[in-house]
Amino acid sequence: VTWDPIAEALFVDRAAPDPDLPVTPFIAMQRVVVRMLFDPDFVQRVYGDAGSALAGLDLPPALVEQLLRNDPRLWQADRLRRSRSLRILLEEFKVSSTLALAECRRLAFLDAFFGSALFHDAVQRRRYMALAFAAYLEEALRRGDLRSRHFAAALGIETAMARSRRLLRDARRGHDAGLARVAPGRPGARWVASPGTLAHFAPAGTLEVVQRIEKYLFEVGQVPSLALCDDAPRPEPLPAIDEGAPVPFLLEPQPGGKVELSEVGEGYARIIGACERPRDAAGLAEIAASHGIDAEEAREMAESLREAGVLRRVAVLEDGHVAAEEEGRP
Amino acid sequence: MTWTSAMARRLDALPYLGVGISGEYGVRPTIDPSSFDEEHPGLIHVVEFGTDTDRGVDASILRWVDAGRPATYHFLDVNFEEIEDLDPGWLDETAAFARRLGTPWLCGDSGMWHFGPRDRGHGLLLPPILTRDSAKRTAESIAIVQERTGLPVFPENPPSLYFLGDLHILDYFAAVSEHGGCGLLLDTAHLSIYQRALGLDPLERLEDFPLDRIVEMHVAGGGEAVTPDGYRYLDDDHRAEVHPDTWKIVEYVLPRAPRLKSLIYECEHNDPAATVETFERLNRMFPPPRAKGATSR
Repeated sequence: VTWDPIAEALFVDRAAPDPDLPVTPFIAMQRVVVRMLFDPDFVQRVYGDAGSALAGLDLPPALVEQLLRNDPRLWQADRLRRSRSLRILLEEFKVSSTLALAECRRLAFLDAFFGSALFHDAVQRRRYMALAFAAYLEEALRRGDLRSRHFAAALGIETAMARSRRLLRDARRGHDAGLARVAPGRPGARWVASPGTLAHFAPAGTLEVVQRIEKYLFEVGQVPSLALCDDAPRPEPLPAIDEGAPVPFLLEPQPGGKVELSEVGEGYARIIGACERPRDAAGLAEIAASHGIDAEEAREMAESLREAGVLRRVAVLEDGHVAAEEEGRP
Repeated sequence: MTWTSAMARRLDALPYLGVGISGEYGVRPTIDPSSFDEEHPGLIHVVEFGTDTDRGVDASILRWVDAGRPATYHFLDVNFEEIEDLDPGWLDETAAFARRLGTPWLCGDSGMWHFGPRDRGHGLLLPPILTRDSAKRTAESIAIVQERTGLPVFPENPPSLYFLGDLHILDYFAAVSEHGGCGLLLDTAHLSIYQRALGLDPLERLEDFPLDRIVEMHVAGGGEAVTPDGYRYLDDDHRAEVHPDTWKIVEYVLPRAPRLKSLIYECEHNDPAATVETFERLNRMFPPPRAKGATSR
C-alpha cells in the first residue's frame, strides 16, 4: 500500500458517500470558485460581504483575501458557460423544460437555476447538477410558479430517468446505493433493486405528451431562428393526461446513459419500489399488504423479478454491512 | 511514496518519443495526425490524445496507433485534490483506454476537471489551490493512480485567469513530484500565462524547479483577449502562433531537461499549413527518435 490509511479506507468503504462530511479548505474554496464562475450575483455578494456570502465554509482568511484581490470581471470571462450547461440540462429534461418554457415564456426562468440555492448547494456538496435542476423545477411546481399538469407529468418521468442513470453510474463507479449500510442487528438475506432500476407511476397519457414534444422540438429545430417570430409554432394542443389513472413503468438504465422504459404490472411496480433499499420477506410482506398483495404472492413476485435481473439478492451482516451475493459473504 | 533514485531510473527507461501533436476526442475542426504525417513526413512522431472515460478513443487515434505509431494518454476527467474522485471504475476504465493506446504514461492538467461527481455538464478546468496541503493531497492521488494503473503519471501545470494559494505554481508542482514520486509535464504556454498574470518574468522560479523530472513538455499558441466589459487576459486558445514568452521558456528548459521524452505542440484546431513552421523549429530543437536513439537523448 502506497497511500495513507484514510485514502485506503475511502477505497474500501465507498457504498455511502456522505455529502455533509466536512471537506478540506482547499476543496471548499474550489467549490466557491465554481459557484462564482456560474453566478455573477454570487460574485457581487462575495465581493460585497465575503463574511456573509461564505459563512459556514470555514475558509482560511488569507485565501479569501487573495480571492478578493482578483479583478471581479474575470469570473464571467467565459460568457457562454451558463448557456453550455443549460443546453446539456435541456437535453436531459427536454420535455419538461419545453413545457416549462411554454408556460412561463421566459428563458430567464431556466437560466435562473444557476443562481438558485439548489445549484449552489449541489456544487458545494458535490452533488449532481441535473438532479438539482430537477429539484429546481419541482420547487417551481410547489410554489405555484408553474401549474401545467403536463409539465408535472413530464418532469416526473424525466426526473426518474435522470435518477436511474445516475444510480447505475454511481454503482459502476463504486457507489452502489443498494449496498449502502442498513441499521445493524438484523442480519439475513434481502432483495434489493439492481443498480438504477426503478419503478415510476406516470399519469395516463404521459408518453403521448413526451412523443408530442419530441416531434415539436424536431420540427422547430429545423429553423432555430423562428424563436424570433411572433407566429412561431406552439406545442399545444397537447394530448390529454389522466392523473387518476397512473401507469406503472419499469426503468432500466443502460451503460451508455439510455434508460429503457417499459410498462409493468402495478403489483410488480410496488415490489420494485419497496426494494429500492434492501428488504427482507417480512418487510416486503408489510409493504405489499398495504397494496393488497399477500405475503406469498409478494415473495413469488420478488423472486420472479430477481430471475429477470430487476432485483438481486444481497446479504445483510450483523453490523449492517450489505454484501452482494457474488461477494460470497454469508 | 516520495521521489527516489528508483523513480529517476524508471523515468530514464521510458521511451524517447520526440515531437508530437495533440488531439482530443470529438473536437472539430482538428488535424488528423495520420493525414498530417502523410502530407508532412517527419514532423510528428507521437500523438497525445486527450479524452475522458465517458468519450473514450476515436477513429483518428485508433488509425494512428493501429499503424504502430506511439501515442500518449492525456486525461481530462480527474480531480487530484479530491481523493474520492479516484473511484475504482475510473481507474479501471482509464487503464483500459491507456492499454488500448499503448501509452507509456498518463498525463494531464492537475486541477479540477469537473465539479460534483463526474457527469455531463460538470466539466471545467480550474487550477489547484496552490498550498502545501493541496500539493500533498495531489501527490497522494498520483501515487494511487500510478499504483493502480501501473503507469507513471505526470501532472501538468494548468492554465487559469486566477490563482489562489501561497505557493508559486512551479514550487507547487515541485512539491507534488517530491511527495508523489512522479515525473512532471511542463506546459510552457500555461506557465507563461501564470507568470504574466502575476506580473513575473517568464523564467521566474525555474532555476529552482526540478527540470530533471520533466518527461513531457507542451508548447501552444495563445494571445491577448478582452471581454466585452474590458477585462484583458492571455488566452490559452491553442492558436498556431506561439507567444514569445512561451518560446523563452522552451528555450530555457530544453537544454536543462535531460529526461524529456516528448514535446507536444498543441495545435490541433488550426490549418495544418499554419503549424508546419513551428513543427520544423521544434524538431530542430528536439530531434526525432531515430536521430537520437530509441530511449535516451
